[in-house]
Amino acid sequence: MRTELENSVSASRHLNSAQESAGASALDATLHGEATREFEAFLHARIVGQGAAIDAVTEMYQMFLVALNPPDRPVGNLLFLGPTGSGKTYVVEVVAEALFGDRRAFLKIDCAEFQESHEIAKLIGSPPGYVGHGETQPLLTQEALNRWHTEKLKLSLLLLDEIEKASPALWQLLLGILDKGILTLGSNRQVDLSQTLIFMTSNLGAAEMGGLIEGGMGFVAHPTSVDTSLDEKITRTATEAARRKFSPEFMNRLDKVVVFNTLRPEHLEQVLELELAKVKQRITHAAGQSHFTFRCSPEVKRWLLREGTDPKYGARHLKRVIERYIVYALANLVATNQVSTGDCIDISLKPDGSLAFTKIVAVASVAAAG
Amino acid sequence: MKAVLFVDDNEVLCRLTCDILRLEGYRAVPAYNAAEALKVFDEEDFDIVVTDMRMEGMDGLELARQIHNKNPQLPVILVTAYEPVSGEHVRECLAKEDLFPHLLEKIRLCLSEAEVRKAS
Repeated sequence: MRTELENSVSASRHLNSAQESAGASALDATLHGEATREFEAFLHARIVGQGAAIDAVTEMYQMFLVALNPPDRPVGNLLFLGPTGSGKTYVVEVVAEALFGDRRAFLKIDCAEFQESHEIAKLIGSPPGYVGHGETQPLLTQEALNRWHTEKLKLSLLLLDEIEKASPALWQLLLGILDKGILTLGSNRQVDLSQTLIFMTSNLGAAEMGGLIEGGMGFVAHPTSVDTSLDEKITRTATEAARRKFSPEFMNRLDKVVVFNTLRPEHLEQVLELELAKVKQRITHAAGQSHFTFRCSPEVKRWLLREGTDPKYGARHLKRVIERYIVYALANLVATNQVSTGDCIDISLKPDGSLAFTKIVAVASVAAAG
Repeated sequence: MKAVLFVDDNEVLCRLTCDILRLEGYRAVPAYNAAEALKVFDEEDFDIVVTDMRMEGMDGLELARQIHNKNPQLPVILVTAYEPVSGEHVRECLAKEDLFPHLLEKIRLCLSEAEVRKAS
């Protein structure tokens, strides 16, 4: 006598063979469309060590492109949690660049500016009869949201930074936005956020995360690198901190919570290469002309990494260190005409720890001279 | 966010400087000659203008004068690779060889002075 399981397997095989004979074929629901694949590749080339964030954004974008995102609510509500310097805001900037060719193509609301309930008027404008009605332009308007829309892409990006600092009044507003995708301004006009991808960032649990990264209390040596179990602990810590701070109503309205990994040394090296490449791009991008280039010795790269990163603050200071030690110097060299088109500047470390800038004669010039 | 209009006919210098200013928290807008600077100046609001002295068409001094015709209170910093320049339309003059980090300090000081003047 056949068991229930055997019957079920047999029925399933019968169905499969019937489908095959009718011309049916198996589908792969994990495949992305071409536009989404390009978008994903763009993000992967510029974002280091944050695969989960890329996956979450890509998924939302794919749904939006095929118009399968839920109607009457934002395209996606994403909460980014993680240690400082891990790139939460940077991801939004890169998404903006991928979609609109400009890293500033999103509306940023700094929730720390709305810690008092009366400050909400700056965001939505004062209602009629209140002081300031009609005088101050609200920050969150349909025009501001749609500013970067193109003929092909009617998608807006909204970043709510440091969401945990929002006042209770802003929270009420947010719950409505995340649920219905509608915001009513002080002037009674409505803002439609149903074509908007909403990113929220938070440093919640930062103190506990810092403790984990620094090695905690006692006589434990501070780790110089970050291991996988540390990422798991950070994920747990951040998620628990979010659940403690945020109401269930808020958590239920989120499509995805992404905890950003701490960047490992190999990630930081990649970030450094990306940042140096960006400086080179800035130099050579002018009106299609070829300008000078530069190269950093391995010692200089190690030095920049030492100065610009640490396990606690991630890559936060790296850009600033590159600006201060490399870009300032290059700007001064350009201003004083010490470099010209076709030059290559070799940047090395002097024995006293300072940087040396040396002009290398271009290979083409040597060949021509010889 | 304070807005800086940076004018220099050296495109690379202009762009690098604007990037540095942005990282320092300013809204920096580049212009590659005086005519372009005046056009941008008419379209946007700025808190300070930094301009190169020697540029083709119109030099930095004339640009400062024309900007003060539109907004007499606006601080203008002149940057030059040659002899220091002074005049009623120039708040500060900076040698190009001292551009960074001195420009950042000059901008900060000029903006603080402007704030104080506005408040009094």
